[in-house]
Amino acid sequence: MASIMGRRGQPVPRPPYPSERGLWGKPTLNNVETYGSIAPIILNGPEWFSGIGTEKSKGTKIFALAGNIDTTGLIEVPMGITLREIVYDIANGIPDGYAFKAAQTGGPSGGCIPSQFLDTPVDYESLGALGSIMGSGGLVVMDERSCMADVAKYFIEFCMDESCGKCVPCRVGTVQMHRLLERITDGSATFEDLETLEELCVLVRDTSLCGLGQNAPNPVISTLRYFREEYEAHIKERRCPAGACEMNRIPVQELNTNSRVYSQNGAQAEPAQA
Amino acid sequence: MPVVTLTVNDELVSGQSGQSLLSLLKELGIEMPTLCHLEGLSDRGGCRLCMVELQGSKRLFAACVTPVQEGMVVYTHTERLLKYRRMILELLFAERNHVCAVCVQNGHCELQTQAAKNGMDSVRYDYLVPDLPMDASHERYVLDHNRCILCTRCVRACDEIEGAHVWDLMGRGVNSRHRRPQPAVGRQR
Repeated sequence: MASIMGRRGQPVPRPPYPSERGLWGKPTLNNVETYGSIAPIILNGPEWFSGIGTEKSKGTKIFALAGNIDTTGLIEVPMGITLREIVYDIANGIPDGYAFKAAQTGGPSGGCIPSQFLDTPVDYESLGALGSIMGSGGLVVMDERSCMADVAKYFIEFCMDESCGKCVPCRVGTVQMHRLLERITDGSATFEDLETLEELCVLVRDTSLCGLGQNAPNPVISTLRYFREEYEAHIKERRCPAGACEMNRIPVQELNTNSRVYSQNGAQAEPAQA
Repeated sequence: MPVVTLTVNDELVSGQSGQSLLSLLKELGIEMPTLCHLEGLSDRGGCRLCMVELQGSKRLFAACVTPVQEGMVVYTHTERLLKYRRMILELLFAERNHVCAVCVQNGHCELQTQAAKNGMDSVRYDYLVPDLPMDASHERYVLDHNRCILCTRCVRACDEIEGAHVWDLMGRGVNSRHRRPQPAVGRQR
């Protein structure tokens, strides 16, 4: 909206909400999906619309399926459908017999949902309880070959690039988070770095001006919640359990007397027997 | 203007409806750290130092862009807020090249003062040490990107007081830069 009015694309304090005063000072709806829902609601009546979905999340939701699944694409499903139905029935499961590891919902600033929550209904409340969001309706499925720290780094990089730069925590905080994640995924991080990262996540979430910054740490927070041992393996054992991070291919500098030496090219980096 | 009553740090106070929370806190003599706020200019809520806690909300609010409301319960200096303020200052110090020891503003610097007042004595983050230019070619001002914290006070003063809007920002995220005056070609405003 700011761009249409010839201004710089930056968030402005709310209220007023765009639905009260938006483009050129007029009430504005800027979500295409909302427009998409209006016509059928008018045609079929509000009872029809609220008959679909769950108690609090009504109607349908469009997801963009991507990642390690057989069939990718756009789907429209009723609210409250389970992740398992989406991944295994609609998307035909994960190819080559790999196991489901996590699903990232809500686009880059959403959270990762691990396999134990495959049967959770997909609606606003349940996703929120799991530390994720519905967001833009992106749904990226990851199998066991994906490293969660690496995934988090990728999403933070996106948020870092997309930050408008208006508020400090998002502008600089995301850069620092990315640096820390880079260190974790290249094997040079310490536990202190992990602590700093967690603190930063909370700061950026709580103090950012707009939704981008407030949600940017979600991938890190949720992967740390469900896959903490993966992060710790990167730091403690200097190995990537999923075999995705580069650190497996570069020999780690000898740390001290009982240093461990890792194979140079194997995905299965095992400590050399002394 | 109608008067509203609210609670600030467990004390009952009154303010004018429509007034910003920050201006009320200043009236009350509560010292709030600010960097982007400047009396007489519009507020933008960018530095996030004046964040306060409101009872009943999990979110934090920047006092400068939050209007006072009847029945608000405000906390201005909780442990959490103090910690966040220190971290934000750390982030600012790490972002560009703020080297107090060789800075002409040493001792007259708001960023430095805020750091001292808020107990920020070390930076735990990587210094990003960007390679930034400095423009000292003008008679009346010097623009040093190394020290700029993007508070946009100068941008707003030029736009709102002077009415000229010569300055602005360009770029995005951490690559945002204060923009030098450009020849006005086809600019609308």
